[in-house]
Amino acid sequence: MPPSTSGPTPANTASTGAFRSARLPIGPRVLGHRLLAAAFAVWAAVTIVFVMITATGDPALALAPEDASAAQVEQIRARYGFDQPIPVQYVRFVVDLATGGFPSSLYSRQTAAQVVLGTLPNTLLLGGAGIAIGVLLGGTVGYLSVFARFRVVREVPISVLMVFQSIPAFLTGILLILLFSLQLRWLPTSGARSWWSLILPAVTVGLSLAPAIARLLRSALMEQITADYVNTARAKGLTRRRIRLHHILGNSLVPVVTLVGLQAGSLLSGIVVVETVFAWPGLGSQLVKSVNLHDYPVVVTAVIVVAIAYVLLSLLVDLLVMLLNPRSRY
Amino acid sequence: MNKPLLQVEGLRVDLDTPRGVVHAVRDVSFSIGEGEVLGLVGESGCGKSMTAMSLANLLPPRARISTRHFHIGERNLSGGVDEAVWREVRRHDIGFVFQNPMTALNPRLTIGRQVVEALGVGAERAEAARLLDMVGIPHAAERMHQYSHELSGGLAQRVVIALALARQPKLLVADEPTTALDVSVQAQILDLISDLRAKLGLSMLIVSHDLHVIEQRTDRIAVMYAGRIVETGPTRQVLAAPTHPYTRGLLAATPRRTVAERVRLLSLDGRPPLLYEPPPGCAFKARCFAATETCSVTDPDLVDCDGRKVACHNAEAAAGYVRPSEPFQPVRLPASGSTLPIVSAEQVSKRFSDYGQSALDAVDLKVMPGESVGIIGESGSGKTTLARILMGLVRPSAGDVRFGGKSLAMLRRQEITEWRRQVQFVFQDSTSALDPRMSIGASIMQSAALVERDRAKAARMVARVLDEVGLSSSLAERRPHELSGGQRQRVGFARALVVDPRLIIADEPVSALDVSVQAVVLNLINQLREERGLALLMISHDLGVVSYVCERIVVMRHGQIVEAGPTDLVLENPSAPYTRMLVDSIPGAASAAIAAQA
Amino acid sequence: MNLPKSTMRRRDLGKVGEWAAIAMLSALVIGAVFAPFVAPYDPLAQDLTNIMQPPFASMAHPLGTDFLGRDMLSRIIYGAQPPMVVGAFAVLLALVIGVPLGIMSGWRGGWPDMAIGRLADIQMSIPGLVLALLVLAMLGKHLSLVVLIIALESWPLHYRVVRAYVQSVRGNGYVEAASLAGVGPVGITFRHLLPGVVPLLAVTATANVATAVLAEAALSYLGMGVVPPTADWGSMVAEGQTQLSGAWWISVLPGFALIALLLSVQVIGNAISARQSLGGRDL
Repeated sequence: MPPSTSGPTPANTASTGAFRSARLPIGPRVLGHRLLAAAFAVWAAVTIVFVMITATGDPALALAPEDASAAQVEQIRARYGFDQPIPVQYVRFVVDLATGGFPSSLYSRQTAAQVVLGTLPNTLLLGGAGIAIGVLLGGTVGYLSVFARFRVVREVPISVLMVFQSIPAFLTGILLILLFSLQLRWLPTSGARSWWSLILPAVTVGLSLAPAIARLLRSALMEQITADYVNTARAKGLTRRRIRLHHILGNSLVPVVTLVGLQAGSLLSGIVVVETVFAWPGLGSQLVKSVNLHDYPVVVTAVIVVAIAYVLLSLLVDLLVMLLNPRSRY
Repeated sequence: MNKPLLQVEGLRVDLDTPRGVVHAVRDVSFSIGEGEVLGLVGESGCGKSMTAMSLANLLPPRARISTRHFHIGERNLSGGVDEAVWREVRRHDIGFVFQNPMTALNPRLTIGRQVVEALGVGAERAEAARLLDMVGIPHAAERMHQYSHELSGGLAQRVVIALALARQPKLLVADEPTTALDVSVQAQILDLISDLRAKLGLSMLIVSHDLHVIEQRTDRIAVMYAGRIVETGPTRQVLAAPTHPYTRGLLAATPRRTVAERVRLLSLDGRPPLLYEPPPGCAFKARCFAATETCSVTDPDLVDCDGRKVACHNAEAAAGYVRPSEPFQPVRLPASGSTLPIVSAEQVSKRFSDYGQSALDAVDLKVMPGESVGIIGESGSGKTTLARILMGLVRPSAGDVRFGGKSLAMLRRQEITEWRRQVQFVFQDSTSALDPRMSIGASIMQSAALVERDRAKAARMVARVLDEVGLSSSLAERRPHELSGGQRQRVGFARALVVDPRLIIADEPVSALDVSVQAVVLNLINQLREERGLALLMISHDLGVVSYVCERIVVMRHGQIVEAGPTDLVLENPSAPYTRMLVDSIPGAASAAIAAQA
Repeated sequence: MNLPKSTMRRRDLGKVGEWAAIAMLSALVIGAVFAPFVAPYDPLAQDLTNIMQPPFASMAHPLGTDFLGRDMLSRIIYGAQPPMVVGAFAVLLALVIGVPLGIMSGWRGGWPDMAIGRLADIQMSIPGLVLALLVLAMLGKHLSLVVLIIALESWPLHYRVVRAYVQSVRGNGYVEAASLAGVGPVGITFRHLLPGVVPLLAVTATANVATAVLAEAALSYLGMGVVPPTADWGSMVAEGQTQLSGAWWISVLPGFALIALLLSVQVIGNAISARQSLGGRDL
């Protein structure tokens, strides 16, 4: 077998450079790139929202309460510059957003921003709990499906979990309500009156995430098992447990974390649905409520907040991947 | 007589595969003494790696190992033992060095952490630094913070060696330790291993397909074929006068790397048998020139013969077989009289990105009709880039490429077709060179479409050219994966030949092939040159291969031509220091040079 | 061929599962296509004397009735139409957009690749459902908008897979050999690229069908897709949620139908991708 005939390897050029005396964990070029991409995404979201607003025909009419007089509508139009040419409107829109000057909700005395940000903590709580459950459940089942000693443990849990991949989140929620709230009467059906109310919604969110994680972790582990460095680890005389946890699992985390990043979108969508099923007072159910009430200021604000959350989540995931994967840092 | 350090008898390794059980290693026995180096030689699939790995049960999970007798030092491992015992063997008795250092190291952990891990519980970083120092890694303390992808191949292999020696094993097993490395680095690593062996009093088992490596660095040798050892004995003796027909065939097919020793290569037809059901009788009989009735019935055992052991019924009869020994010259065609080169590169440079080095730096090269030129270089030398530029697959950043004196950029449509016809390319990797979904006949036809539109006539051309490369035309219907590597490479040549070219540019055409198959292709190349008056430009990293086929040689390094001239002259008396280093790096070359001076 | 018994048993079980999935999917599709002939009642016909009949109670209404006396069986048969129609068209549109862009991106690289890549990344700024809510809120609840939105969310999936494949194959010797032999880009695309891409697309397309059906069901559940009284599984689940304690079947039965559809699509998708890794020998 010949040595590789590709060009000069980066290894050669890097090893002649400086050693790792004091350097950032992540190279500034890569970091800058990533932040720029995040900014681009937020800009794109804002632009999409703007296009939607202007596409409705008469934004002033949309933003005004139903019983507004023509003069009041005219006032709104002038105040937000909807009579100006579109590029000017766009700039004003972005500036307004950045400075927080958006109209009030049509159905409460608070501003749209206050309404939206008021519901945000509940969503973060649900999301956090849901992700935790999903990762733990999916990770455990995935790991067991490869390394458990007994065949039953290797094959049954993951098959059961795979079935859940075909059950939409709202159905999982309803079935859980049916079983645990109505039949067994262990848990409340909806609302957020106590910590018990968090359980069913969080489990529902977790079950929407767990199957994909289990499946991906399983395939990542299987791929790493046959890697050469695992053989080297065996040749060192390390115990099986150490090889599995430290080497194989450690190197399998990157694809799984990347998946969570890619799934962030459907995760957020799932949270919107789950909040509606359980009437959990978060950003998602607020969004759906506002859409049905035609409370456009709140809708627009909520969408933008979700978009920002989405971009931040993806950014977080990317940074985590860079931390885990030395090769991608520079 | 001391008890040997390691003795194994009746080693069997069976692999469970979806298609059935493969008997990868069948009844292998050998021993290694204290401080001794044993070389395990054979081609791909013969079971040598499996044998080496089985000494510490580093086999895949679907493998089963059994031995009649097996001991290392004071430890008795006969029959079967459980995982905890194997762990002890791996920690204290045997150290392993693997083929590919870049993948043998965990990409996610720093070098330091991996070395500390190898040293065992409670190890300190200072110990790790000392160990890295011992294997010749400069600035060890700082390097410990680096990751595997930041090291060169040579350095990475040194780390692997450090891991192997961390707990002072008695035996070092090296499985193709230098195959994935550049020539200049190979010698360094082999020297390191030899030094460490002397310093630490190690025994060694070196597994390799490269006879030159084995020749210089081992005391005894064992030749494997189809899962069994067919010949074993003191290295010099076996290689100077091989007894078993396979060993003879192997040596006859191995290119010699010095001009003085160059002889005609003989190839072995056929392939080793698949090991699902152990073939009755001797596994080599289908390819053996000395096979008799007995060979089909009983599998020969290793019997003593003249200071070594051979597994052959007809060892004495085979002794009468003499290898060709007249010096061999690569084909030299009479000068064509034309002064116009077929292709030429004038001051060609190539940069792939704005920063970083240039791949090529003002290179001049021309190939005259009927000439055979070899380009020698290591990875990163720019040889492949140059070939691809001459082919028109890549555009140069500066300089000019000419076809028959006319610049490529100025060619008109018909002239482009003519150029494409006259200059053909043979790819290095035969697997990716053919569309896996098309039959090989169709792939060749696609090339033929350049000159012949009529399908019936083209089909006849395809059949003719398959015959010319020694393949049965019935193979035309087959898909690439149904053919062996050697057959696929010949298809690559057939595809190039079907348009009747004047020049073939071949990128490492034999490096992925086993030695015995390599000889087939090399002889084919010489034959084609003679019959068709074909010019050849061949890229290679192997001086022996180039010396067999090319009359002129060009040595490249870091994108520049370091030396050029007639092959024999350059190899026997290199003027550039780099060329001298390449020539000296080859085991066997040094002794010939000294002998020539004496 | 002497394979271990457990492997053969598992293969047979797998085959049974695949056939069951194909049968189930065919039944659902045929039911949806021939609904007027298959369903016993008009899905909108109310019978206020017979409200909230449980399933398996009478022969007249084998799956029971809902809170307006409408026959559950008929509504479930008809309820398959919106998800399947939306699913099919959305995936088709996504393929029409994603595949050619993927081939061009993977083959050319350079700035067309970067530009299209940016376009695909825009999808990463707003989650699909949220974007759908925004659009449908502003522009009205048109089913064609739902198809369009789902297609715009899905095309990057096919695009990325095709692009990655074309990039990996582009450097292969046989592609270069073909272009050296004078085969033009169109020829190379059809002769060498597409045959390799089709098996990959089979996997992404089945996955896409599942996500598209899921999206339609979720939107209808939230009241943003198909609205009552039209029969649609998603909206039926929403309608029945208030009756969960008394008449659970109004929500649960359409839910099971939805699960059956998604499960059979997933099994078929798995079967296709498993066949690829065994049979595919191109690398």
